[in-house]
Amino acid sequence: MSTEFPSPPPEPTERELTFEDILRWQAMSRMVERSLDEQGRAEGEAVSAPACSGDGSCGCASGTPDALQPQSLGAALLEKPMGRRHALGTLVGTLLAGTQAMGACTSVLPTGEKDRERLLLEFQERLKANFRVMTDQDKEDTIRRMERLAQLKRGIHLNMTGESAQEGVIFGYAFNVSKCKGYRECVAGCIKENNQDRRTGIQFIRIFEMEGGEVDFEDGTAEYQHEVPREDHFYLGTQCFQCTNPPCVEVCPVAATWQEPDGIVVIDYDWCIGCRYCIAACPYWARRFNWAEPEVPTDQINPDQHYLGNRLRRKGCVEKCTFCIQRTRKGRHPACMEACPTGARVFGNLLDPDSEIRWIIENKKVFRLKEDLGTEPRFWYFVD
Amino acid sequence: MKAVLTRRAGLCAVGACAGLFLVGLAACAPEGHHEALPDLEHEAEAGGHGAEIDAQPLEGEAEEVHGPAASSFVVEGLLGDVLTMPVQGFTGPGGKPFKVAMRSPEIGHYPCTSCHIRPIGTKSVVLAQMHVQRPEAAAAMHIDCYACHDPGNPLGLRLDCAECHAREGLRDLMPSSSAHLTIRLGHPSGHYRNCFTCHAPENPGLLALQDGNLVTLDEAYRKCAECHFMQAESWAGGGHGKRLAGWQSERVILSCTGCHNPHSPKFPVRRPVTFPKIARRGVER
Repeated sequence: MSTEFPSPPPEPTERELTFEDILRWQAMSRMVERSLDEQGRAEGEAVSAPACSGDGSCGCASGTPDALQPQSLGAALLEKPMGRRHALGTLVGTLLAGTQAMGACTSVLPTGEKDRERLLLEFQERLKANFRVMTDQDKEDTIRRMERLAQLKRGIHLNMTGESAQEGVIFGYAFNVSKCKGYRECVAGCIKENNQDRRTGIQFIRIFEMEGGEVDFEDGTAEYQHEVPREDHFYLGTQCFQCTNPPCVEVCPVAATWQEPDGIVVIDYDWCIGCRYCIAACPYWARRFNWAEPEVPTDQINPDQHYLGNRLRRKGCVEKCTFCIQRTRKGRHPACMEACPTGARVFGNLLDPDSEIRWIIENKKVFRLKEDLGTEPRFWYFVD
Repeated sequence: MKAVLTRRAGLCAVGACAGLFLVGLAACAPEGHHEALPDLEHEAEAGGHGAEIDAQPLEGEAEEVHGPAASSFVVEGLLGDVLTMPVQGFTGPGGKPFKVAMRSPEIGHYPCTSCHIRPIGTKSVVLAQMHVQRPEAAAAMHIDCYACHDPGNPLGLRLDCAECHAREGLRDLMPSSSAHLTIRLGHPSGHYRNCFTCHAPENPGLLALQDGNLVTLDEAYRKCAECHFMQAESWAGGGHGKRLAGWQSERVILSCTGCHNPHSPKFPVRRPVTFPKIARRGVER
């Protein structure tokens, strides 16, 4: 390795790691990658010689890659069929973990063991793939990393999962307009359950107060402050309806949002680039953007999290209601339904003919919002 | 746009036809299909509701087993320490039995003497005081001290209020307006506004149905349903009321009195618990 590396930071001290540090390491890793490419090309010619079959049977580097040797490490990485991201992640991870692979790097490493571990995990997190193309092992790895990071940064134990949809389940929701009294208990429950930013006050649910007689959002307001229920008024809650034809999914330029087999439209928060096309496309204003770094007090964090659900978001990504995917995939009710004191909310499996939601759709007068758009929401309103 | 339409049509078809499909499958399925056996056995083992499964009609079983959906998987342990009891007289969607959460652990059981036996000086009215308040009435009904006190041992009491109060003439002696001042009776309306429209005169801890049967406060839905039959039907189906645990658990819902105060069932007027911080203005608001 004759490549020259960018100058390391001046002194390895206990100071807080900055973004410049990350940039420096990224620059370094790019150079490592380039040199590996060159080396790989050179070695590729050698490997292509008939003497070595490449499966390690001949005793060459591929059999027992020695991580202490940069050449063999690079060779091992290149011989495995892995993506560029994975290779880079493994390589830099190995370096940062302190294998002393390169003398030049050692001075860059932070002195604290925990800082080093955190940096390594954060770096690996930056290089992970879209959730949909991850293997089960990848999912497991990133969830373990996030749990460890939460422990390092906040000192809390998370219980995060990435469990997939159950067979034969499509979720549906029904909202009893004549039962809702406008107490907004569901909103409070949602904020707590979904680790929503307490400072800017992102809320997935809005309860509209409207005058009796007709559903008119022009005259209705979600910003009422008085005592409820008000005489001659009714209350109608909106949130993400998990449309069957979600326009938000169609417009995403990076495929960071998609519909799961159980009908829930989810977002890979780490893949979202924050373009907010989806917010513009949603006819129901169901999506929210994190304009600032979300703040949740450590003692109020809900540790039961799902990768596509209520895990802590970052600044610059879009979030939305997921029917509490972390709860409903475990057979529980969404938090809004559990919090509702009047029983105005009903949740269930649309494919189960004996479910309450199916009974409501079949026996009550139901309607959905903006049905003429063809979005086919899975959220029905009904009256007694 | 073509793709969108196609997909929409496809999903619509799935959603709309799922029920018909299931029914069709159930109708076509040969009886005693071999695949049915292991599933049913598994269900019976799982939660100890073998009895309920036996009670279901055969078509219901066939639907459950052969449907493309409806995993028979039941999530348990979400109820916490809520006690439940099976509902009588109503069936849920698909004719399935369900349960209600019991309220007796929460409200306790209040026999008359739990309040009225306290010594003089406490707030509640003492039993003896009540009986001497209208001595002429007591005399008319041939009630003397020995109605309760044991002649041999005056401290030993026989406290079976119902023994006397079930008698026809004594029903009126139980005041409904002046007693139990903490209860503000706002329901039912009109001349039905009387404790004994619902409570049994001989034992106010029980509810008296129109057919003369007495039921516990846990089964209040049976009393409520006598007037509110429309709501009761909706409640049994799932359109009214609140379900506990989870969507994949055994169906346990709150009884009428789990949400409504039976003495004034209307929900209170109060301030909302939270407020929207991000206002949305413009055409759609």
